Amino acid sequence: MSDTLELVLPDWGELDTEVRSPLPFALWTIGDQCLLHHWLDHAVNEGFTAVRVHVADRPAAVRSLLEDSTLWPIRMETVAIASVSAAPENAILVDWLPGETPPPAPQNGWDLLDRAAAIERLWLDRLAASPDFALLSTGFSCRIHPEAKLNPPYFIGDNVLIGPGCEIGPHAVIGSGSVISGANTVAHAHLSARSFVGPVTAFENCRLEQGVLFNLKHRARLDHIEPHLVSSLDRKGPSVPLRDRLTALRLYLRAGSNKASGQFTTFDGRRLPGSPDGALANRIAWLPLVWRGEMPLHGVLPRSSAQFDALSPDWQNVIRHAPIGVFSHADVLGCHSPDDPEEAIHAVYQAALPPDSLQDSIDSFIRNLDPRDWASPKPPA
Amino acid sequence: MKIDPAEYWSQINQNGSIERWGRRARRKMAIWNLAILFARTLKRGLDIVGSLGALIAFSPIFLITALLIKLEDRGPIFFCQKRVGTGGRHFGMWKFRSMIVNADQIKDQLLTENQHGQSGVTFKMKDDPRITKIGKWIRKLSIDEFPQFYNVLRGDMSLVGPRPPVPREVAEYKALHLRRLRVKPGITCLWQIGGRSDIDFEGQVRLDLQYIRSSNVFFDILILVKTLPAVLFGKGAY
Repeated sequence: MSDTLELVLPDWGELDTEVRSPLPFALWTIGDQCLLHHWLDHAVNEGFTAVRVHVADRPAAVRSLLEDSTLWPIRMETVAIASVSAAPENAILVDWLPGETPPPAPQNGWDLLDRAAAIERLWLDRLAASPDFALLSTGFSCRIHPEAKLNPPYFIGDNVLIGPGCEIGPHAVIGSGSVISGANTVAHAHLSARSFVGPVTAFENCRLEQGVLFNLKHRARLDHIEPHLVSSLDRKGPSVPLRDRLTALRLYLRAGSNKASGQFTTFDGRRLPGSPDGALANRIAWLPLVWRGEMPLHGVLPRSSAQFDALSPDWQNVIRHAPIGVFSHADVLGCHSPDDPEEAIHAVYQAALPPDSLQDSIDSFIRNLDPRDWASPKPPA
Repeated sequence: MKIDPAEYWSQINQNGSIERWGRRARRKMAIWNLAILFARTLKRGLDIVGSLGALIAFSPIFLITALLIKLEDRGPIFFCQKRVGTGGRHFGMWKFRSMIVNADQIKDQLLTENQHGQSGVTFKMKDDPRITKIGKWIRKLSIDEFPQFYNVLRGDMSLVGPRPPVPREVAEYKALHLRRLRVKPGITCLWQIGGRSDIDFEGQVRLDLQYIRSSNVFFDILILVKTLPAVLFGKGAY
């Protein structure tokens, strides 16, 4: 037997029309950890000393995750591939739990959610059958009210507060740091890490991700719920470091006034000031967004729907989930607009790498910027 | 307790505005965030105060032990061993040297004598020939572990937590065993007070998981208090 386990992750980025997760399906949380980590557990149990992961969908996110996966005493390697068919023949598709026959591939976003729920049910059943269920079903530093009723199988993460009169399970997963206020029912449901659930609410056949509720029975997505009913304890939006915010403020003051006019909508529905082909002139208008923590300083350039549709499907797949920013790797190489054909090459390169890897060169570009570079904005499209 | 949601929410509508309930929810979230932060700070605070106090209080024992080790075979006083910490990350764990200088090379020849079984993940044997005369005593009294208070002060370890394994042991782990690496390793834990080396590896892992499941600062203090008689009477230490 080879001592390397070959895995290939499913390329379902385009199917993810409901959750619109920044992570590929194999990195979705199933129970206590992501699906790929369940496969690393399998590799350790089977005595493999290395795992090679072939990825077509967002390889940078997978590479970053594996770099942080120091818990497993095995060598890990990420190989970026153009499509799943380019993976070696002996590579196993990570679309289900190891050791089980997977159902047919999903066809749409709701199928993906149903699949995640089915995998989780299977994992919880395995957990309940384990002799160590009592030790593994609850994380550390949890406060569970004595009047709360726990119906196996369930999994409760670390630092979870469960109030009186709650009924948790069967097939319930409560992510780390969550607050279940009291008199709640959670069954056949997944509440993501750091969820807040108000009193006297029931969650059945659903998935709660960052305050967005997906009702699996009625296939409904609820984005806006009163915060006293459901909320996320995580901060929303990108996290912009103070240093970047100060840099943005300094650049904004140096540049003088906001020379960009008009507004445009990016391919994923975000409204930004300026025009899609505004080159460096747009950046002055985007700098206040950095200062307010609404947009990172570093990232790929935002694209309009027309600019995004002009790319090949493979490149769309890579760029679709890449975080946008005011300055990009393409800027460093002299391409300042997504209309420049070479800009897309640099954007794909940047999107395929871990987020911080090109930061130094972009910072160096920002330091050497001349206020004259901001001049001559193009009129809005 | 069974509450009819319709009745509950109608009470809300009578008693207060949605905004007030929103504020109450935000307050509850903030309190829980603070409670998590407070628990982490309290544990780290206990580690800093406890380790600093121990380093100062035991400094005479440190001096005498260092002198005796140096006088016995002129070898190094301390021994830094690579151990596996939180999330599988490696760190150097400090101990007083209780074995002869080339102990690791001789270990391979002694694997047949392993009390935890030849294929056992951990290695323990009574009357290990590699242990020096002074080493036998400092191990019996657990003085060899005292330099780990420095690791606790640095933040590599905690006063209470699962014992950090060596990388060679972790290479033999199954997925279940890896769960014990999810928290910061410590100087003492449940199996140290419950029989120490007499407990087999699977038993150690179960006790570690039990600790992880029920850990809080007061439980840590209880374990520390119970560790003292286990150390003083040398129960299960050899």
